[in-house]
Order: sequence, then structure tokens, then C-alpha cells
Amino acid sequence: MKQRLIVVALLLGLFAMLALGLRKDPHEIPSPFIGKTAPDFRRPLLTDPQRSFSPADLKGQVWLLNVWASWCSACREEHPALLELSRRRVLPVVGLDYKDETAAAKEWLQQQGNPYGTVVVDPDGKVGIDWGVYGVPETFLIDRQGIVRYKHTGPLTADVLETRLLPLIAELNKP
Amino acid sequence: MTLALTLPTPSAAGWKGLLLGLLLLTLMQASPLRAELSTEEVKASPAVEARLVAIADELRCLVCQNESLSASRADLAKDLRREIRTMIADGKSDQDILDFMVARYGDFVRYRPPFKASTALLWLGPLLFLLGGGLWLRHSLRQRAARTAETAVAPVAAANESQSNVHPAPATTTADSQTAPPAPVRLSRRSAWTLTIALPLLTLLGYAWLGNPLALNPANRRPPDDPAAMARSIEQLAERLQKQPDNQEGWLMLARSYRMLGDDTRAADAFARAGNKAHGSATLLAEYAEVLASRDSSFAGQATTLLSEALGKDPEDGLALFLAGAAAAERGDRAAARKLWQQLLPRVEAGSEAEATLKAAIDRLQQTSAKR
Repeated sequence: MKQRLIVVALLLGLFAMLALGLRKDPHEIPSPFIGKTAPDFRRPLLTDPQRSFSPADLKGQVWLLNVWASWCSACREEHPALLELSRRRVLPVVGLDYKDETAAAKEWLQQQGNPYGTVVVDPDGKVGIDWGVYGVPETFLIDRQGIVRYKHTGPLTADVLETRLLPLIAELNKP
Repeated sequence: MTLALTLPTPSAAGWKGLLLGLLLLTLMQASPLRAELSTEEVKASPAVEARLVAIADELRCLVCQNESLSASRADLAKDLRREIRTMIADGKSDQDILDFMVARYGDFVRYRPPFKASTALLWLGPLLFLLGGGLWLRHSLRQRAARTAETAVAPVAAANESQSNVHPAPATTTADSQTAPPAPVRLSRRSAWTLTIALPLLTLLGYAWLGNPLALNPANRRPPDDPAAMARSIEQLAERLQKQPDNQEGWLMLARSYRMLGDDTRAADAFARAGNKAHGSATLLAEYAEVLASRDSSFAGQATTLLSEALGKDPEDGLALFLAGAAAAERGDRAAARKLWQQLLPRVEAGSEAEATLKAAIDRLQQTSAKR
């Protein structure tokens, strides 16, 4: 009788683990960058190719890097959340326009509204590879020391913004 | 992808150009025979390609996670292969390249993650399960043995045996005096051993019989990556089928492979040998008709019959609609051709180049018939 109970308990445990596993998103891959220095790059700006941006320019500030593209439909989905974040002016929001056409990207920002203080272009996707990007949109939060503190894969939502991102930004922004 | 945008004249010659353009864009499903590596960027030297494949086979495509980096068609996989090619050209070692990937995508990118604290359970888990199962099996067998011995003894020695029933040995000795057979104990132990040995053995035998041991080598799991290898594997299939003339399924596969390669004569022959199987669906019938028409440069005869059979099966089949329209145009039946192609229009992606091509072809049919 006791043995049978143990077997049933083991099976139930197995089912519970499988059920939990089914609810997890297999596309959420833990980023190896958390706690590490953000990869460096220098790329031209979307609006003015004569000028360029590098993460080093923002050293000493908490900032956000959002990887997006005009061809990415999930980016449209997260746009309201990004606009909301930019409205709050809590930190500089940098957009990395990943493997995109300049004209299409500009038009997209004109139509949807521009949440970014700076937009950098990455036409061949090399910066994306260096940052371990595997599916746009992806969002990175970088602290004053230039260390990646948080990464969100997939579209940002109001919920992620309120419960994860904003509290973390407030904490990192504390003097 | 470049398009053949030949506008069809209502003659036999024009339909193939339009077909190419349309098919490539809309109707054709991705062919499993077409390997990604062969259609990709300009190839480097064979030595570099071989190393690339060896490395990329060990890496997971981040987008389609159950595919290796060498087999995936995802854009990111292409970019990463390009990176690997550059690194090979720069003289980086395999370990350098692996480190590059792991630094960006973590251990997840490796199909064989390294053994460390966070992956210990992954590596040792199966072993632990086996060990736990074995212990549990031993425990329960022992208990059962004790219980059978006890019941055999019960009538006589119930009083003095009640507390030492864990070990079967004393029980058996007492049982001997009662001439109760100790058989159950030995039998269950023997069957446990038999199971322990027979089960893995049976598994291995079953695998050897049904499985494909060659598939254990990752290099063999990739689709053939050059047309020559593909042609060779098709030739092997053809040879095998010479000995199995009744294998209709096989002939059908061969026919479709030849069609992909553009060998219309052989494709038509193989379709014929596939018998009933070639008539299984509207798409198959349309493919059969297409190779016949392509071989003979005309739809007259069997191709037309096959097409009406196809449309009888599924009046909405894209390829069948398209070819039937071309056949009607060839016969000079412009009205029918227009009607068939117009039925096809809603199935073509709106605003696409294919739609424009098809519309232009329909307009053209209208104009030529108006001139008369």
C-alpha cells in the first residue's frame, strides 16, 4: 500500500514537472550577457549617417537598447509600451534597427511614433550577433558601469514594463 | 529569387515561363529535397565548407530550435554561417568558434552542453533514474520474496517468524521442514536477472532491425548539400526500385524527385509506374500532367485528361487550375482559360508579383479574343 502511494506520488510529480515545462516559453533562452559588460560597437545613426553611436557614449548612465526592425510584426505590438516608457523620460532609449532598409525604417517611425532618443543602424546584423540577438524584438537594460542587467526577449508589454523594467530602472538609477 | 516574367501568348510556348514565376512564388511548397547550403551565399573552398558543416552540426539554430545550424534556413542561421566562414578564413580554431557562439548565445547553442554544475542533472539524470529504478526493483522483489516465504510458513511458524520477515533465508529453512517449495523466491530473482539482461538486448536488436545506426553520426543526418549528392541518392532509389516494380509509393517519390530535378522524361515514366498512387490527389495529378506537357511541349492527350481528373478531385487546386488554364489557352479556348485563371486569382497573394503576372496574362487573353 505504501509502495503504491510512493509510485503514485512519483508519477504525479513527473506530470507536474511536464505540465510546468509545457507552460514555459522555449524561446526564452537565458542570456549569457546578464552581469557582463555590454558588447561594444560603433554604428551610424539612422537619421544622420555622418554621426555615429557607441555604448561608450552613454557610460555613466542607465540606458535601454531595443532591437527592432520595420519588417518585424512583434515590434509593432510592443510599440505602445516603448512609447509609454519614452514618455516617462526615466532613461535614454536607444533603438538598434536590425537588418532593415533605411527608408522603410524612417517611414515606420514616422507612422508609429518615435520612442527612441537615438536610432543606430545594423544593416548586416553583425551588432545583433555580437549582442546574441536571435529574434527581434529584444530589449537590454544597461547600468552605469556598462553592464547588462536585464534582457527581455519578445515584445515588451505594459505588464513587463510595470512589474519588471520600471522597478529595475528605478533601482539602478538610485544615487 | 529572379522571376521569369514571360507573358504567355495563348500558345503552348508561353505557359512555362509564367508557370515558373507563379509556382516559385505561391503554389509550390518548400521542397524537402532542396538543401539550404547549396543555394546559399557564394561557396568557399570545399575544405572550408567541410569544416563549417562539422562545426555547424554541433550547434543549434536559435530560431528553429530543433534544427542544427547547418540545416536551418533561418536568416540568422545564414548570418551565423557567414560569420563562421569568416572566422575559418581568418584561421580561427574550432574551439575559438565554439567560444564565440557560446559567449553570445550561451550553452543552449551547443547540442552537447559541457558538463558543469548547472548541467550536471541533465547529464546524470538518466543514470540516476536507472539507479533509482534498479534499487526500487531490488527492494520490491526482496519484499515480495519475503512475503511469499512468509505465507508458505505461516501455518506453522507464524508465531516465531513474525518479526524477522525481511530476509527470506530463515523463512525458507523453516519452510523446508514443511516441504513447501522455495521456488517463488528463486523464480522472481531469476526473472529479474532475465529482464535486466533481455530488455536492453531486445532494445538493441529492435534498433538494429528497425533503426538506422548510420543516423547516429550527425554528418549523415543532414540533407545532401550538393546537387550531385542529391542526384546520386535519387539514382540509388531508382536502382532499388528496379527490383521492386510494385512499390508504387517508391515510384511516386522517385517521380516527384525527377520532377524537381527537371527530368521530365524520367519523371513521366516514374509517374506511370506509380499507378494508382499517382492519382491519389489533385496536386499529384497536376504534377503528373505538368511533366507530361513539359516533355511533349503540349497538353494534348493524357495531360488534359489528368487535369480534368485533378479538378474533379479538387476544383480549387492551384497547380491544377493553372495548368488547366494553360491547356485551354493552348487549345485556343480563351474563354475557358480566362475562367480557370480567374478562379486561381483569389488564391494568389494579393499585391504580389505573381498576382500582377497572372492578371496581365488574363488581360492578354481578353485582348486577343477581343481582336477576333
